[in-house]
Amino acid sequence: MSTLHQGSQQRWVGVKKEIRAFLFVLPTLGVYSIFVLYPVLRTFGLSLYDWDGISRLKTFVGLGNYLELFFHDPIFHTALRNNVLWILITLFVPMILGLILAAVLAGQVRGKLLLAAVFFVPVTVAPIAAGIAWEMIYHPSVGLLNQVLRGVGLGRLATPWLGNPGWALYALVQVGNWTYYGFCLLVFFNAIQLLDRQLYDAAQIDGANRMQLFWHVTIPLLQNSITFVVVYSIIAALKAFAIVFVLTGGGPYHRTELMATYLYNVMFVEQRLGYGASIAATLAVLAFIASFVVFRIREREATQ
Amino acid sequence: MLLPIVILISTSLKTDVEVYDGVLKLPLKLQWVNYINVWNDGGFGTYIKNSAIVSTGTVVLVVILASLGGFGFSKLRFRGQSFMFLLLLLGLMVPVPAIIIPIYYSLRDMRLLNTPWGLILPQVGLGLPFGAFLMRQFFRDIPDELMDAAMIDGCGELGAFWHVFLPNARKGIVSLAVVQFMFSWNEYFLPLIISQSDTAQTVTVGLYRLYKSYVASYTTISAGAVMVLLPILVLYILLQRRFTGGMLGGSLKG
Repeated sequence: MSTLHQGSQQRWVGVKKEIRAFLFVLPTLGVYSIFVLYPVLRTFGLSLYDWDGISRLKTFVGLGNYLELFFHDPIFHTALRNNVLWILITLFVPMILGLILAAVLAGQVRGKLLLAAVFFVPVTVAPIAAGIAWEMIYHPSVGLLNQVLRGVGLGRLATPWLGNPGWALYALVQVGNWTYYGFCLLVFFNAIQLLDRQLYDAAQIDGANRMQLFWHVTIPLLQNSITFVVVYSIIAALKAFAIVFVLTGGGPYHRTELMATYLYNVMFVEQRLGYGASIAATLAVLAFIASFVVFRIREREATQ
Repeated sequence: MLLPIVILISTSLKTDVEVYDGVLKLPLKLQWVNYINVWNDGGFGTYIKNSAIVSTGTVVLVVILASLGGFGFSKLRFRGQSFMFLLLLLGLMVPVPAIIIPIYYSLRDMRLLNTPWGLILPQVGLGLPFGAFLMRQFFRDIPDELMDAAMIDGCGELGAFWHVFLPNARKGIVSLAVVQFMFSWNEYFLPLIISQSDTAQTVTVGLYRLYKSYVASYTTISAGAVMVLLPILVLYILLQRRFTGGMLGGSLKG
């Protein structure tokens, strides 16, 4: 056999091997493409039309939906603002508390695993069930919160939390946070476990107290975990839906509306699917942008 | 931290009158009848069955596809694999509401609305990014030498996968299964839109319907809520390390 022939035979074997390798990921990519990639693209396409979802008539409006959404839709503005608030609160409360608690727990040994487990339990609770559990706390008359307030003489402060336009959103975010603390604690707790004890010992020899240890040793070493939790928190906050949907339905007067709940409204109540798609597309784009921006910032910080 | 859950369980075992006595008071007698009511009249018997079918189906498919895919991405070489993996990871950022409209119409055209498959397939699609990522992590921890050894023994890639790598990635499979089951069981938005009829409903949306119905009282609703959260809670208690390992993306040592 000539070497030329042998060469092409080997290449063919190589190609067959590559095809076989590709076959392993083909089913995964297939299902993913059909049920995730294609729908994402189709959402963007759909957002350029005006359509009620039923009739055959689809009117091309170009960016008209987006113009309306961003400039003429006060409900969407509220929803967007609420989502941003939700994100910010989720970043500041569960994440920071989780970080601090993880650092605290890293010290003591007794019962810390149990405590971490207790915190994690709410993470396993479906948001809709969490919403209903917290109804028992926020209920105007029999709810725990108001009963406690009345009990300690602060009955003045008792209010229908979920019906109060000023407080409702914060009440809802708290429910969301409740299902999230454990996750943050878990991530940071685990990350701290993996840190090298010697760094702490060295710093302690230099006379650092616990606060300084936390600021100057723990936090810098946890950069990766912090980045991860920030991105995860943003995406999780953008996905918030069930808690608001069950407890307030976006009310009172759309004050607790989120992009996802507004999307539901636009789809089912107003039956404007093109417009709904523009909300959906905005949601997706925000998730992507937020993730990339955070990564970029952290990357730059890390290399400095 | 656990107080809301305790209150929920306590309320679910009260009589309707007791609810108004005070949330922190414990029930006089445990009203297990609430659970029976929720199961029968509340329709939860059906809902739980549906959730079980959909969640199990999703988990089985995700585990199979993610194992194969994760193996392919970690141990095998083919053109464009980095790009494809990155493309897959983008799916981690996609919220269900963002793609629900096209999914609805795709499923309608496939005549899969109101069916378990209509709920399973999109969830598999959405679960694969994380699943493949997780399995790839676990496979990477297994030495490449095992691959060479298997190939020398005459196994093809599939043989190596089945006989060598898969058994070693057991922890990863359990972790993935447990976490995916939780995500599936707790999923709300997808069944809300895709499953219109009452009999096809999952337990999360069933709970919502119960809540919105005028006949249900807080005691019944609480019982329903407990039924929704209990399976996952039990799963967590039994398989804690697998659970947390799965949620951490396989980075948990040991």
